[in-house]
Amino acid sequence: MGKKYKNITEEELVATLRDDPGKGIDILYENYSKALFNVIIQIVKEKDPAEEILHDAYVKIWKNFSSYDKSKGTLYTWMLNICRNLSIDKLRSREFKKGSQNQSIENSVNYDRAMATEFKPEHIGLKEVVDGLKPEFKEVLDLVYFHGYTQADASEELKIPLGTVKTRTRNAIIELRKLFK
Amino acid sequence: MTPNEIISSGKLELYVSGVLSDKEMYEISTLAENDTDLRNEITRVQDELIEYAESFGEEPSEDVRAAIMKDIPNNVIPFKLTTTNKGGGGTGVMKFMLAASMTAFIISTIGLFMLNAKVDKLADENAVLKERTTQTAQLTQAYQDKLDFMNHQSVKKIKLEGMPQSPGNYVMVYWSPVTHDVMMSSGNLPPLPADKQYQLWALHNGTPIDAGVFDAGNFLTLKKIEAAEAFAVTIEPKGGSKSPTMITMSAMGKI
Repeated sequence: MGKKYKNITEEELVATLRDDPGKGIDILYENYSKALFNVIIQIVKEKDPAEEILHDAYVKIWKNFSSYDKSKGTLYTWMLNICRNLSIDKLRSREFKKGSQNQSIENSVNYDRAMATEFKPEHIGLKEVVDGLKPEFKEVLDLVYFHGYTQADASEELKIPLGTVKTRTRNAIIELRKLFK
Repeated sequence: MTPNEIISSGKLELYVSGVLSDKEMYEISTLAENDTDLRNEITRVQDELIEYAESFGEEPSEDVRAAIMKDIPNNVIPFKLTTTNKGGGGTGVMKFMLAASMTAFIISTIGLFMLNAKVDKLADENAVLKERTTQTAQLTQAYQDKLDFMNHQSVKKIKLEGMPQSPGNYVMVYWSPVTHDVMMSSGNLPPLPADKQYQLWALHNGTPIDAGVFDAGNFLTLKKIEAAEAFAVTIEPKGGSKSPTMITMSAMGKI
């Protein structure tokens, strides 16, 4: 998937979506779809449901673009939230269908969190990423970035102090920067 | 926090991940609008997080892209003859009127030639053609009326401009303080989800007065307005609201 639109600014992208929506959606797909797809897979784990969700997310992004509010964050962040929410909904509906025990909303949230803390190095794409990031740093970063946990939520979930979460997020970022320089 | 403090605090990864409080998300977004360094740093962090996600290596199949494009409505707003028109109303109406006049002429010419051949069959066919001509003439008259109104000496043309959070929006309003008629063209406002509509408000002595609802791509006559100092557009549930939802204001203009 080649990136056609490398140097477009956030402002230009928003203006293109307004004035030339067909081109705007093309840019959103070229620039963000691979990343968002990987975020979705981190949550739902399987490729076929992930493709459905990616499709639904882009259609929703198209339909709701008028409600995007730039004072709340970047376009990517807005799209990230849409993808995460659809993925979590999918997980919950899947559990309801299976008829598993303990299916109050609270408990299914905890179930999501339990799935989130599994760390399977063999599922990771590039070896570099695993070698580059210490597991405990990566664990916190993934909870925050892929699953949308606040640092307070992550601290509660992993049962480690908030300060430790903050340090580990910070260190994950530093490691990331070295990897992607 | 100052922009520099934010940059060195490591909060930007949390910002791009969307996990800060609403207040902090808003603060950083607002600061970024006026600070190039902060904006650039947000972009850098975002690009990094995007690369990180991509490094997991999964890619959606080409089918997904095709399915998305198929489910997204056509970029071009379909041209509805009676109530809608694209953008500012000028060239589109002229082109339509030209096409309408030419069509009417062609239809009449065909009718005349065919009359020379067989009368009975032609009588039927002629009736159909006459009906179409009448409809086209009515349509042309409707557009002529709209043009006449827009060009009337008493009519005020007001361009409503976008708000800071939606720059680049524009809507044209034509209002006659004499006859109280209001006509508007939706300019470049984007389409809304099915449960929402745009609503035009006239502002008089600080009070908003409902002027009617419309959709993206419309060129319509709305409700009569007796007095106004300004007009504004907001996004409301379908059918409109009694009072405007101020935070959704999409465009505004003073007379």
